[in-house]
Amino acid sequence: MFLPLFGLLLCNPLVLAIHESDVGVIDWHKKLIGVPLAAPVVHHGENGSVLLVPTASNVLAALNTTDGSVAWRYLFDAADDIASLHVDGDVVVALSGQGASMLRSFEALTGLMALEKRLDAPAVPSAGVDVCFEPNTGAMFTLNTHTITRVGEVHWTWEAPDKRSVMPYSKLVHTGAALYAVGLSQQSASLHLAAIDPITGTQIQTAWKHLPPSVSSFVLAGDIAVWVDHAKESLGFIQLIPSLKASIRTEKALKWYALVDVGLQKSSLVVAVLTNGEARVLQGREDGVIESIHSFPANDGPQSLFAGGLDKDGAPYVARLWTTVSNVSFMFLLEIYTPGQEGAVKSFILLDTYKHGTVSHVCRCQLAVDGTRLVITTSTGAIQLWEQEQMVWGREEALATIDVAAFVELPLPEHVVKVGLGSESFVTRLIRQIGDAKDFPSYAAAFAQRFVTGAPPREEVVVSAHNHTASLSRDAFGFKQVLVAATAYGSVFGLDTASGAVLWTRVLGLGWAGEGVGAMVKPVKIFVLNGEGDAKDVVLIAQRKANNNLVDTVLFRIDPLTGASISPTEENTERLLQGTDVIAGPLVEAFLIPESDVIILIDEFFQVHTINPYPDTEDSAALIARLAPNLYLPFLENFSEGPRVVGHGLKLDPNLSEKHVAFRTWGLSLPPGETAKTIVKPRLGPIASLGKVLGNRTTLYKYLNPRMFVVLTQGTDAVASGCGVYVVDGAKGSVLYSAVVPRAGSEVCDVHATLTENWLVYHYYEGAGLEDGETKGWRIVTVELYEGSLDEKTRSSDMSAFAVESVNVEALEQSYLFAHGVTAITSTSTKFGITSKDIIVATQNNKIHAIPRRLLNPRRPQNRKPTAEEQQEEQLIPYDVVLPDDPRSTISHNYEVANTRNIIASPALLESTSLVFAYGLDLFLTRVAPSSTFDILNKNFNKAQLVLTVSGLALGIAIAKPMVRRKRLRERWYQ
Amino acid sequence: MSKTLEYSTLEPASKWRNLPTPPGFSKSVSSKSASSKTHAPSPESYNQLKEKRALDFATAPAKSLPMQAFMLYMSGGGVQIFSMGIVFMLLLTPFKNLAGINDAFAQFAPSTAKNPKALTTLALQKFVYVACNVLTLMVGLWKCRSMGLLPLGTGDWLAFETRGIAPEMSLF
Repeated sequence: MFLPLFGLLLCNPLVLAIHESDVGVIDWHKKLIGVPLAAPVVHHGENGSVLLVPTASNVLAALNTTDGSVAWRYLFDAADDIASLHVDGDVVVALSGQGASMLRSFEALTGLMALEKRLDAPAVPSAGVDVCFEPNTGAMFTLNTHTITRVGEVHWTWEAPDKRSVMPYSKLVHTGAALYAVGLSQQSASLHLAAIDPITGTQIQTAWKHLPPSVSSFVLAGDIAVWVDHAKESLGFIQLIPSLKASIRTEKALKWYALVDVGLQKSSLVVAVLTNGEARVLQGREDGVIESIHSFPANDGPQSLFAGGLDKDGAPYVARLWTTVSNVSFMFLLEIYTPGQEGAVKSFILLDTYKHGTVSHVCRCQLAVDGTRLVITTSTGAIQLWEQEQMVWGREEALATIDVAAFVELPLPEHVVKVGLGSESFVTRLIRQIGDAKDFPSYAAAFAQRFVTGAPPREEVVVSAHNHTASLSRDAFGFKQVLVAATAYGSVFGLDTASGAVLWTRVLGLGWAGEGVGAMVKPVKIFVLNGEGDAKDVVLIAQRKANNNLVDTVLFRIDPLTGASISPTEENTERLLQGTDVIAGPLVEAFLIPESDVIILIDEFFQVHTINPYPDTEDSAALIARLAPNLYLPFLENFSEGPRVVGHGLKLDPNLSEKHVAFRTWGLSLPPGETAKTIVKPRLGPIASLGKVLGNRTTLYKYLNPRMFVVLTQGTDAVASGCGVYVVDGAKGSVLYSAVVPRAGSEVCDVHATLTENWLVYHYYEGAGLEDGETKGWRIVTVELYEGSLDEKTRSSDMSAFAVESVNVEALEQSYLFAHGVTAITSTSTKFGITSKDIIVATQNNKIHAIPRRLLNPRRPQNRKPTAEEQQEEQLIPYDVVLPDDPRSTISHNYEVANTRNIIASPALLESTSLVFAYGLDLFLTRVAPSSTFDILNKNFNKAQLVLTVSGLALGIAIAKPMVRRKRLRERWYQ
Repeated sequence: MSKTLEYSTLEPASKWRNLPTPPGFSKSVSSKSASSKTHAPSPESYNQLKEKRALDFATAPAKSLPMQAFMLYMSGGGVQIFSMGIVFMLLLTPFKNLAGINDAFAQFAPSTAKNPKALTTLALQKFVYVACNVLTLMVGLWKCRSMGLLPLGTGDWLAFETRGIAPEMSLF
């Protein structure tokens, strides 16, 4: 009885999980942590050391110091921002969330969570957060603005009396005698102090000391609070004693400029900078006096960075890092001072600022007794560990902030590249072919070897992510491509899709803003153009926001193989990547005209959308002039009542501008109280079939309007209104399909949609406010648009948008319960569009799933069984309200692909296969074959058997043929 | 080289009839006794017999239909080597038969016919023959249809449909 069932399971094409042997072969995964928010903290353990980093991606991570790999990481929710991080001994404590009220403590080496506790959030916005630890008891004290809480076996909470008048505290110090809270208020020009009994939580004393209003911050060195009065250039300090009666002392002998907290409060060390550029290491003595124990000489560089650290034995170190003033070699000089030793150890590192930007944080740490190590994080988000002028390892954490990315096909290998046959004469061709013939023996040998062993040459087929040649040329199956990714930190990466290796890194130049002004470059769009010959170019359009608030649109044209700029041409890729300023102002939208290499850039000056073609040549102007009457550009525009989707036509008005301008032709009219949120572009690709053939050989003609796109909307009233999904015609703004889905009471609509051909899939959460008997949960809705009912056709794909029949749309839709929330959704794409498309979703549990087309077929029959024809021809299965949460549909294996923001898919040269790249915090790339790899031989195919059989047969024929011939001859003679 | 049996030598109009007997062949004994004892059949009865045989021949395809139908039933609805072989046979034999119709019926042509291979000789039998073959063809086509091999629906012609480029273009 179970045998047929088992057979059915075997035959079921849904059973297409990723094989364990394919993991790491067809896919790769980069586990990232994000760009550090603060200098890493080094923690030494028994078996190794880790760097503890809070990052901008809201991750708390520990990196192994030996190789830079991620020892552990903890992902905080988006609504649970890391507020502060404190390390003491083996304990890491992070405060996070609204009002920094969530306390979590981790084991530093393993990342195991020891404690998770919600503290009382302050009534006022949290102004100062600190944690300090009680020695030997494992208890800790947390300070949040006005409240001090002891977390441990004894729990108490102390609240500042009269919270309205008292300014917030920002630091906690625990001495043997008492627990002190210190806060500085510049408004009331006072330093607030509170002394509390650490055991009982009773208040010993509160006090405030008057400080000049020019004091803006203070630093604690042991139990001494130190500050610099900028107006008088003097140093002030006060020792904390339980009675809080100590008096303020000042030091005016030197001209003090600033104080730097190097994280050595426990060692009573603080660095002070003098106005002449000198720096002093100050130590607080037990008698409440600050003394200078070391002086760094005035440096000739622009600015110094200071860092402190403890070595394995707990001895403190202070380091200073600065660039030399002669910025020719960009040498970073390093001085390390160890208290108790004479002088400082000097060394230097050569950091390539053109590749990594400048150093933003330094953490100096001593790991070995006789070696010095230094961890730096740069302005482009790289974390590097240096040991004695050598970089031990580096991590490119900017990859956790990819804004735009694109796949670029590689050119053919040189020996395959076709020569221009048209211009070739007979003689030259003969010479070329004779020249080519010299490769024949190796070709023949390779062929024979391939025929016998079945192993393809390594440069032609990407076999594994770890085992392939580094040459940048197209492989036989097109699995090797270059992934160009631009990050929010103004850097561009070229990644190898076969292995995930970084091929090149470039830092975007700042143009005119680079000289003295400073700017941020934010990538906006990326396009792939046809370059010279077989090669492709990548055009990256970025907005450069200078520090003087001028915004420009910059265009970078990059060679995807080397990362070199093509226009303007550059020889030396060691320098910053310089682009072309295309618009002296912000960019409204950019479009690539299909089947051409012309990009339309739209700017806005004085309410006029001017069309700027790139490249700005006569040819592109002519192309735009030719296409202008029939070209429509829908995009989001901001109005006073909110963003709207507005369609634009193109016209040339000589009075207005010598270029074409975009004028509004239609606006999407939405119900009152609803505003457009995002536009989801259709996923374009070749369309293999114009209709869907049903089991009875009739056809449903697909509605293949090439101008369709999706608009996701959001009601302004957060409770009552829902979220809208609209499919709109881009030429005239008519709504072809619309749906309103509930909002589930959330602040923002969390609807994800993807549109390909005539197929729309969207995902939302159906929450509270439902009728009885309905289910809460995530839904996936699949919609297919057809030209009409059976055998009705209107030729929608080449019909004018203004034809009457263009709004004849018939939608088939079905909705399913889905087990997960998603963060990104897309569909696969293949070279000719013949292979069925899977929907790829990134779920909130950090996995990537592929949902087969078959499960999302809106023709799945409800309340009946599919007929034999339907089963056979359409592979229909009965409707089931739940999409099975099949772990085999997970294409990301057991990787954690966290916080995926977007998924892009690209066709390979094999029709069956599509490359899928998911990026967010982590990067993940894999190959998917929705209809299984029908165009390559199975890996288990027995080639040896085939070869043996064929050669055996050939041998048999060779032996039998003369025998048969002789026999025939004899038969004729003796017949 | 194939050898065929020339039935035409029996006929009175045959050109071989007036050949001299081989040397040493004694004609008198056997032929005389035969002709005297049995009544020689007349050409008319020959022709009638031939017509009857021709009709039998013409209906032969129809007679084999039940057996073919059974074979079709046994071969099943799937597209496999056996069912395909039978279907091909069913589809091809009628055309093969019709192409050779005149040659096939020449042997049954009455002795009076001027040209035994003319289409008009034995017209009725040939018509029946054509009808029976069409019947076979119909059975074959019916089988094709049941196997889904006949391009009757719009879905079968979908791949040949083409579409041009839409006049308006919208960029995203």
